[in-house]
Amino acid sequence: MSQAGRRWVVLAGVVGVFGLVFVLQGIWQHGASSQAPRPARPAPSAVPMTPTMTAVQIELGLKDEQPTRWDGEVHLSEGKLLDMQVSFGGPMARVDGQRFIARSTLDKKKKKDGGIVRPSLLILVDAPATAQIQVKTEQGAFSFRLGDVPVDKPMVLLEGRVAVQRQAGGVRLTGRQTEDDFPALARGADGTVWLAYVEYLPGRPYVLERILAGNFEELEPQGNGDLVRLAKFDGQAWSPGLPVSDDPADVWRPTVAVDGRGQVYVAWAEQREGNWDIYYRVYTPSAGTWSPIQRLTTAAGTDFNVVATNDAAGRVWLAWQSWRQGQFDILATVLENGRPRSDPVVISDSDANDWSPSLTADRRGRVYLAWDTYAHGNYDVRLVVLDAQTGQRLGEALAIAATPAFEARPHIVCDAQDRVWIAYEQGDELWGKDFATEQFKRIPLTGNLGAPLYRNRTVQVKCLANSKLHRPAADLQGYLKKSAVRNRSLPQLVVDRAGGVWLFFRMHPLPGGAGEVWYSYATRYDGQSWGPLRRLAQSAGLLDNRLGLVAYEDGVLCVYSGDGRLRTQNRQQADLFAATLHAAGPTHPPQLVPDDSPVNSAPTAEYQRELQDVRRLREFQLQLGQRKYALYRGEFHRHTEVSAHRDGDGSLEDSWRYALDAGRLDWMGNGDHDNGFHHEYMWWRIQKTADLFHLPPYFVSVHSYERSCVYPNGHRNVILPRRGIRPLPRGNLAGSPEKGAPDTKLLYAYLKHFGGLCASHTSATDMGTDWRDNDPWAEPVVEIYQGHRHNYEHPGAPRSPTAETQIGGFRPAGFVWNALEKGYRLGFQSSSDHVSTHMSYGILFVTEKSRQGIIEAFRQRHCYAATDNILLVVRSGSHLMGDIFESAERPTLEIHAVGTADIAQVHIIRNNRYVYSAQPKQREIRLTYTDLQAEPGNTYYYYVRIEQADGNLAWASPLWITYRPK
Amino acid sequence: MLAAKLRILGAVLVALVVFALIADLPRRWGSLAISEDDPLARMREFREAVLQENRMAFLALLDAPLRERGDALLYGVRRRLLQAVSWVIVEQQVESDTARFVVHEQGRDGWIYPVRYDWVRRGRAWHLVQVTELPPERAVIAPGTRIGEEADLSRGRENESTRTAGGSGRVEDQDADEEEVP
Repeated sequence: MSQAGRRWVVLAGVVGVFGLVFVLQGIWQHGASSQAPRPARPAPSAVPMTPTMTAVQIELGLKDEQPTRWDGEVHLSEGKLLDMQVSFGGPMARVDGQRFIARSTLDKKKKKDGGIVRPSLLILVDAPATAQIQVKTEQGAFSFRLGDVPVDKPMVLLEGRVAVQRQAGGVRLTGRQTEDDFPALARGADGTVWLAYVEYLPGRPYVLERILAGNFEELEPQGNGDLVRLAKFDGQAWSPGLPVSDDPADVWRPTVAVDGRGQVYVAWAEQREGNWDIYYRVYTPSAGTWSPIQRLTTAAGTDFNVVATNDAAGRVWLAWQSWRQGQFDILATVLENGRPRSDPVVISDSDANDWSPSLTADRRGRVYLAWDTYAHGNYDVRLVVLDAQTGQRLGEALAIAATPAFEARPHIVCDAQDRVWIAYEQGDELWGKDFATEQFKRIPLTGNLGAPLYRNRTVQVKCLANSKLHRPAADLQGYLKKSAVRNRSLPQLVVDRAGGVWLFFRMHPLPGGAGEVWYSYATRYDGQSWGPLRRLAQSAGLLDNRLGLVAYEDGVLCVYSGDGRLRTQNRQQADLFAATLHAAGPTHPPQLVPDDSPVNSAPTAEYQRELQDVRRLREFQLQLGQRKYALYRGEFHRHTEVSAHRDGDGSLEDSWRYALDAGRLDWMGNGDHDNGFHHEYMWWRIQKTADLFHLPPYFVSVHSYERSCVYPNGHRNVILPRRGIRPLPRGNLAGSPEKGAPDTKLLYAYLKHFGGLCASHTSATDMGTDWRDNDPWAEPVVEIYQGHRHNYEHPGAPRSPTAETQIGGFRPAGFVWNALEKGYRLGFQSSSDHVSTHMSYGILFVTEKSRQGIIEAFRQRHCYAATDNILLVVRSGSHLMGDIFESAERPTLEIHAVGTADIAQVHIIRNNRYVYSAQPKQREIRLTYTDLQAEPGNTYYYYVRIEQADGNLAWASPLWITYRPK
Repeated sequence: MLAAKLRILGAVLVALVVFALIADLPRRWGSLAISEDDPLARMREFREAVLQENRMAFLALLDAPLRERGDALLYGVRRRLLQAVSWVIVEQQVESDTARFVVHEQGRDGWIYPVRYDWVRRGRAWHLVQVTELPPERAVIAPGTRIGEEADLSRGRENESTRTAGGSGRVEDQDADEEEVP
């Protein structure tokens, strides 16, 4: 061999070795990522907690007009600094021991205050009230005595440039490697406080580059899951949480109670093999032993929202929400010696959905159970007394709140005088009915007929004393209007040893509601007045964030979760925090006045009409050949607290309440952005709640999310066929009208990998697309209309935008006609988006009422869009809307529509041109349309639009017919 | 021998022609055998007979009194249908021995011409007894209309993609332009 030849051999050998190493590395990496051992669940540790732990919020730079350095340090005259956090402190913000870097900055997008964003410090100290806290900054020093710092209003210092305010809490109880949530507290007779909670262990983080390279299987986390834990507080420290449930598990909100013998009962809902049931377990502290995990319910259908109390005899009572034969009921049972005394008893008696049980017991042996019901077409609060021996209800349910308003989520406690205190949420009448946007004139609509899911909301407190309902004499609403100016939700009550009634609730801290952040607040009724209002430190989190509460010493001990968010995008992990709250002054016997609230909740004529319209759709059947179709009405663009942006969408729970009750939908999917901006725990929680409400064949929840890429690539809502698949991160968004966007093609590949699909929404806005991309398998439908904005069918169509009336930008290239003209085969559906309710539906022709049935119907484009419960069937012989086929006969459509009002106009559109427009002026129409202009060999698409006299609309998906006469 | 073969071939050809004619009969005569019990199908046959100017099929659908002025009827209906873009049955009442259909003939001129067709059953077959032209009405939207062509599509054609891999993308309605409640 020549020298040159040898060189080539050596070179080839080197290349080969490198190649082999590269391949082996790839195999190893793949193996490492797909077969990685389960992440280790960290062991919790004990956390000391003393009564002198206090948090102080320090707002800096209140008079800043330009970016200013507030860097400095904190000193205490006595006690110690436990923790310090900086918020809005600029890009350099950090904490190092007692020193901090915090600067006011200029945000050009901010319109108010000259664009200045001011920093704030949150310090947690363990110090007596006499401690002097000194803060030295580059703008000057200031100091204050800890005991002088008010809890209900800021104390201004440094010539008005700084404000300080005390907050309750928050001692961090859990570590940063897990997400800790759903705390519940109970106190034993010996004073020990028991804490049950859920610890979520995340999966191994994915490597973005590997996902973008198409390794989509890594978007299915392995080894992640929940674990119910039980910890105790002995007055000095919190013990490490003991494992209670299986690990990993899929659980929902545990509860805890202590029986007369000191045994600790922990109950929770857990999903096993697709069914959610109630499980419980008993811990004997004296022996340190656990009972086996007991399964309390076995029937098909979700059992969840379990709550517990112990009665005067020391028995533990459980109540929960249970899906039985097409509706939620409230069930209860008594546990004695670790076992149910009898079969669970159905307590609620309506033929509608009953929600949110709450239990309490008085000292005389009576047990009280409250819940809310949709029996009258709106939510009302009811309460019953349960027989301590049989568990059966005694007498009729008492109407605690029964007006046409939204009255839900009661929480009840008994005081030492055996009065029952009831708190509940109160919202708008016509909750979840027709609502578009406050900018309804732009659509144009004459107004909003109903209320959205979270516009006006407050908390109410009543008291049942001597079998009569009362209210606190001090006006709670008047107090809240001054002290807690935004919507208030999720009320919870505790009565302390002095008889003071503590009211806790969740509220957004910003006047305009920007971002997804809510805090827990507390106020106390001392018998004569409410106040002061306290914010629980570190309680930032989702709206639906319930506390564990017990009376403790002369106040309240509370444990709650918080994830340090300013909005979902920048949340950290959820941890548990503890705080003790003490009365600010003396307590008086509670002054009460009779409750004179009207009891006038009743189904309205409009509600009855709606039931008939829905029944017509649900009873409809269509046989085409061997296939039998049913209509299935729903949507998959429902935003919630996870991506509410401006506090207008309400909680995850409310989204499912809407689906089942106000909307009476057959299916629904969550539309929160990237299932919570790619935060794994938000995704886990959204998918968990979707599974809780997956109740086929009555109701099907789909796993879905909104994927938001700006114009021209376009927002797309995604449906996945099963749980466990995380949202696709963004790829390369740069593209061209001719070649499309790599990111969108990545999305199509991801959907093909998992069997999902997507739909563009608001296509002619800044959230839309110029239709540079389409894959008919992965993107078979478009959200032609959305309740929150417009109809994107074509310019000039009913409810379509113009440059002047647009909401969210005007991009006419995104109108659906342009997609059809490009040859895209898109079916039509409609969904809601933010805020909007009850006026945008995707109605499917399904052969199976299941998640797969929904995907298959969309895949075939067997669907139509409607703003009301309009029946619309368009077919051609044995072919249904959405089909693509050849016909030897002249293209013919058979149209059947039943409106919810008179059908004012019917239009048939062929290849983006109106070919037939008539004014039937009747409720039901049956038309047979034949195209006399069809040319042999040509393909035409035809679709039908219905316009009702009341303005409601429906759009049938097109049929693509190639005319080939014999 | 050759003559015999030619005879056989001729017979086969004749048989093929006869078979083809028989097979084509339904089309030429409007599928009488299949649809005589179905007045809706007879309506379609009527339409096709008119459009194809199939006089025999057309006359076969008419009841005897109407058949007497069949040619004039065919001429009048055909003249209208040839300028129609679509033919829409908007109303149908079918009883045991009578049937009535109202058809919207959507004209190219933007007018809808409603026509009522009355049928009676004679034995197993349905026959057209009356054709009544109803007052025309102007279509809400003229056929062939393409609404919105004036929209300026160029506004949406620029490529605004600036984000790259890993970004979360912009979402609507977001800002942090607020201070906390004091």
